[in-house]
Amino acid sequence: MDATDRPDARGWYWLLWVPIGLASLVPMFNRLTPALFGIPFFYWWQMGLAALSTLTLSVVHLATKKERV
Amino acid sequence: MFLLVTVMGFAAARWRRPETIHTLAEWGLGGRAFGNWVTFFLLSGDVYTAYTFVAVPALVYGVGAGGFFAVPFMVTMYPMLFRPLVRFWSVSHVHGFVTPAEFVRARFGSPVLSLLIAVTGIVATMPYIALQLVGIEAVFKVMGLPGDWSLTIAFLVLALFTFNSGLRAPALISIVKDALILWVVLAALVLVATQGSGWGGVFHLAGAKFAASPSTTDGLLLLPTQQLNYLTLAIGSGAALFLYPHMLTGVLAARNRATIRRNLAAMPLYTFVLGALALLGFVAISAGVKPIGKDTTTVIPMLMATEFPRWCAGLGYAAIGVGALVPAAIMSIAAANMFTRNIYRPYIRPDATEKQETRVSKYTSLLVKLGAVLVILLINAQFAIDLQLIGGVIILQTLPAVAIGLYTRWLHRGALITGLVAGLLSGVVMLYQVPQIGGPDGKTVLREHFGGSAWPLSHLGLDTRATAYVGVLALAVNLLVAIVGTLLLRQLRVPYGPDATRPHDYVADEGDRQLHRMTEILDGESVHHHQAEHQQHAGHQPVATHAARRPGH
Repeated sequence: MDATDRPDARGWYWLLWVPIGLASLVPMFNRLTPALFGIPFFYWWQMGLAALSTLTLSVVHLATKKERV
Repeated sequence: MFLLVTVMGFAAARWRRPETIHTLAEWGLGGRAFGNWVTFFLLSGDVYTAYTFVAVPALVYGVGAGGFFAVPFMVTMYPMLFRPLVRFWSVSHVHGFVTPAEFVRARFGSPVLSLLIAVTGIVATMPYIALQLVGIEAVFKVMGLPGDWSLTIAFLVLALFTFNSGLRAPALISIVKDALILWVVLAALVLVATQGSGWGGVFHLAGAKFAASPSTTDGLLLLPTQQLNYLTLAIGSGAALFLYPHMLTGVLAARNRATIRRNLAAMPLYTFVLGALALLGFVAISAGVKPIGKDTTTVIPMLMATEFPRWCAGLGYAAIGVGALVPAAIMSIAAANMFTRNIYRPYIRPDATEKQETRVSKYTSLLVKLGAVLVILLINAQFAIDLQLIGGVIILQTLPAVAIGLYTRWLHRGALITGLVAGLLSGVVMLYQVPQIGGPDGKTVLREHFGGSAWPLSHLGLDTRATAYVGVLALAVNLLVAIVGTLLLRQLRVPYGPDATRPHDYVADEGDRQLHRMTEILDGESVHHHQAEHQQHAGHQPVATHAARRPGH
């Protein structure tokens, strides 16, 4: 391990698994309803995950800015 | 439009011109000094290519839900890569690596492994370049231009500007590309919003088409047997993309760690654009667009031609054209760098100077592009698509050495080589076993082999109709062999290779005081390089780049 590591901030990296995990639950979102603006659930849910991915990465980036891992 | 792009390409040569463009880090990595915005455009040009914009909607047009895998692929990729890419940047920054194969050589002390990785990288990248030209060809077909000539001209423009400006050219032109793509997406959204029944109507018509088709693999949703393939394809493609040399080239060109992190955080937003484009496949169905002949890659250009106003369609074509040139340029640079650093220098001319290296890279990038054009013109586009399918699978096999190597060197070099070879072989064999099924009744075997990347798990003796992505399966074989091999070699006490990297190399950042140890070992850098370094340190100047600090040759 590196001398610059601070264990308390490394916990933030676990957040990165949230979008990966949600995208892995294919059987859960393989459905048509509820639709959004006429777009089936399958499609708008996965595009929503893109937004979640950006949000998660931004949070992790800001929270671990000073760390070097 | 094309003219403007050409002018920009040459202007790029003068943009932020360094004192010495004749070093490989300058020509091939833009001096390792790109900031947030330039890196964003460079990476988006790398990831979201013209072929993606043409092929993903075409796939959605053809099979529906299965084609949407590109979205979860781009969703999971960035969180997965967030940490490894930054570590890769750091260690490359400290040691002056330009390619992943150089890192592997230093980390595992194995020239053989490094050579294998370089060859795999080049072989995997070549068809990717050819595919970009397939994207342009689709546009030319729709415009009714003679494909061969137009393609040759596009190739010349591409070749000339990369030759002169190196990585700076695609970075600048990518800004134009992104603006055009955004325009196309907005235009398409307006089109759907103003077209009577909106998205509801679009999906209704698309659903009706899939229900009417005899094929059992299409539809608005995935079949239960397709879900595993969908997931493994998305995650496998994400991991593979990181390993492509051109993607790493884009990363290495960034100025510092924070630049990469910010960009990876922003990149999923671009996935929205990709998702919207994928949905255009459904719009094409509802608008009754028919591809030219059997070439479904023409679906999107056709949609633009029939539904957009003329001038707007023109911008759309330009978007695809420019969107192809940018990644093709980066890919050819990356492949050329691989050749120069991992084949030319170690095996052909160990005493090559920086200037010679750059010249070799320039000419190699030219050759690589010429090869891509010849494949399309002389053989056919289908051949390029097949090769690309194989390319994605084989590049994934470099993961144990390149990505796992960033964290641990527990895996033994001998085991890594065996694993890589096992992964490559099993991947190609599995691809060979996949037939393409289609035809009017949806059950005819169109081609016996290389028909796709969804491998039926029933081959394993499992009683299932489920399929999984070949790349991930081959990677499993690869890892298994590497782990078992390592345990075996440890038992036999076969020595590990020397590791030229140190733990804190992986967390180094711009401005750190670091010695370029690897550079010294590899280049046999002269004493006065040291002196220059000491002078800089004494002057408290921030450590710029490896290349910029070299005294002019």
